Amino acid sequence: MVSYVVRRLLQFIPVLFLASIAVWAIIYAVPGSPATALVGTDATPEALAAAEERLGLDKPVPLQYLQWVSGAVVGDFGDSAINGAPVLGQLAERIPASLQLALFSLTIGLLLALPLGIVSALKPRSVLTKVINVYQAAALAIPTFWVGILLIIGLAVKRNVFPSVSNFVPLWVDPVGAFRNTFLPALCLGIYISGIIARFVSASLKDSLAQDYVRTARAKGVPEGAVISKHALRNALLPTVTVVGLQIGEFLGGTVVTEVVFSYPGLGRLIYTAVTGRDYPIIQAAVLFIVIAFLLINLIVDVLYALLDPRVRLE
Amino acid sequence: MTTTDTAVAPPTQPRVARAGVVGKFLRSTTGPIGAGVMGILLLVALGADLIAPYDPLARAGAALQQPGGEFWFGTDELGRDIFSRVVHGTRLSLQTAVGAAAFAGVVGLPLGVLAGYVGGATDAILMRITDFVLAVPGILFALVVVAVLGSGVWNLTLAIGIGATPTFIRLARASTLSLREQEYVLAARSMGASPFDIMARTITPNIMGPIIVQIIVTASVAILVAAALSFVGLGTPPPAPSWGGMLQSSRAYLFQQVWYAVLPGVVLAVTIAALDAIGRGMQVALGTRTAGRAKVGGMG
Repeated sequence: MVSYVVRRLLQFIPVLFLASIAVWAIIYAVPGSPATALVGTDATPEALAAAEERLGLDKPVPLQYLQWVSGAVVGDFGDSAINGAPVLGQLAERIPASLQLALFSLTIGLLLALPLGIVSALKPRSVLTKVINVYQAAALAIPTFWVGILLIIGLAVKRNVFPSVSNFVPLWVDPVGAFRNTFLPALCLGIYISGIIARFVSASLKDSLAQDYVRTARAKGVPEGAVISKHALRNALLPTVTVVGLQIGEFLGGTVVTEVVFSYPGLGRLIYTAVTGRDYPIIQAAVLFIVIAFLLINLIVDVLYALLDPRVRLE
Repeated sequence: MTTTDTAVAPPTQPRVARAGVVGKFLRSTTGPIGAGVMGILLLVALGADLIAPYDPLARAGAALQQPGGEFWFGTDELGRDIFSRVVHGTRLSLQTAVGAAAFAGVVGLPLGVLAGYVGGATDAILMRITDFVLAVPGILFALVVVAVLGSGVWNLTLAIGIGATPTFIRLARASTLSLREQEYVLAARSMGASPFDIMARTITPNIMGPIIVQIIVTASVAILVAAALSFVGLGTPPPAPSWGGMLQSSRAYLFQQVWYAVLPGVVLAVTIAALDAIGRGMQVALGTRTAGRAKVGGMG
């Protein structure tokens, strides 16, 4: 186990190296001078000179990269081109908001998906399953931002049940306020992922219902409810852990449009404002952070999977 | 990559079974419906100039009229006919979908076959590159590419295409690995076929099944991502009639003309559902379950 984790961590190095080059090169790929890209077009000459110094534009290109990456390694991505504040702090501020949104969305997604997946696996030929299939197709086909508009019309503007602008209220400070503010964007994302998760639950439950140990359990007279919940479902939920885990990675930064629709101050909207405002230091730091987070989450999911299912051998 | 990792290549069908694939597709629940709807949408896209009753960019009547006999979907805030704009938007969407999927397929397939067949350093380098691109959510990747290249229809298409390429590389590589030691590949090699011949003529035709499914999946994701980016103002710039852009402008007029926000969204959702239905029908026909919506950009 330990040697597996170490090996995986070592595999991160080439990926991170590539990612850092790609992220560093963003500044150089933008039309115009890299220094202008870094501080914006209306920067003072002093600021421009400082940016040139920071980028090391007078040095050979590999040295310029080393200069940038040695800062990045210790978390120094420079200052925002828009408000001049250090990039790392702004990033750190948004991460709890994104994690809270991910938590709410996954909870809603699972609450919707588990019953749907279980029913469609147990009664594959029933009318209810046909309805569930249509729901799953719709959940994946209907864009979350459009669901967002419709929810805002229905629940925020007309009935005033929820605020139409979602602020970040930490769950541990004010649970009710957190629920009110996070529910609508989380519902949009939750509906979407419930389409994915339900399909997984259904497929793997069908698989495990066809296994020998289920037949054995039935043959020795275990009540059907216990066969399903204790024998089949427990094993069927293992692959679901993977899907749910990977979804958390996708939620960091992948929820840009939903966050924009609800003005939710997560990582996605930070990146969106950075892209529209050409705030490249923020983009650089955010992309690198998301890559690292994604790799770590993948590793944690794999380890968790092996811990939950002793049959899985990590190689 | 999200739902499915390294989309496991199915054992490819022997060539003989190929004829049955079309039949199986047509007998699947979702395939024919999706294909029918997509056929109609393709006709709409190709014949947009004939079908749209008004110029999509010009004022046709009073602003924000309700749907009716004259304007089937009503008019927008500038008095343009929404139906005509949705029709032309179909062309725009499908153009992006075809462009992005074609780019990803044309670049990803040969690279994946190469990685799978040659292995070694080529394989290792390509795999680390795909690891990196797959670690960035699809929509975010497109967003950053647009931030560097600037917005516009072709940059958007390219951005989505690049983001979708690694999945093709992975898929083609996995399929190639499963075929590399098959008897007919060994036979071709023992008869002196060059590595290029084996890759291009022996392996590629036999891994096309999952690749075609992935092309359909990519097209659907491309439409969704393009709409999402246009919705936040970073995709196709106005006044072009993009579905996402229309949904964005409609937000300010929800109370005057609610259909403005509803109808373009319905057409968008139907298009994506149709492509998903085709994809699922193909998976049934090919006997695969795993090609999946790898690299979900659709969440937005």
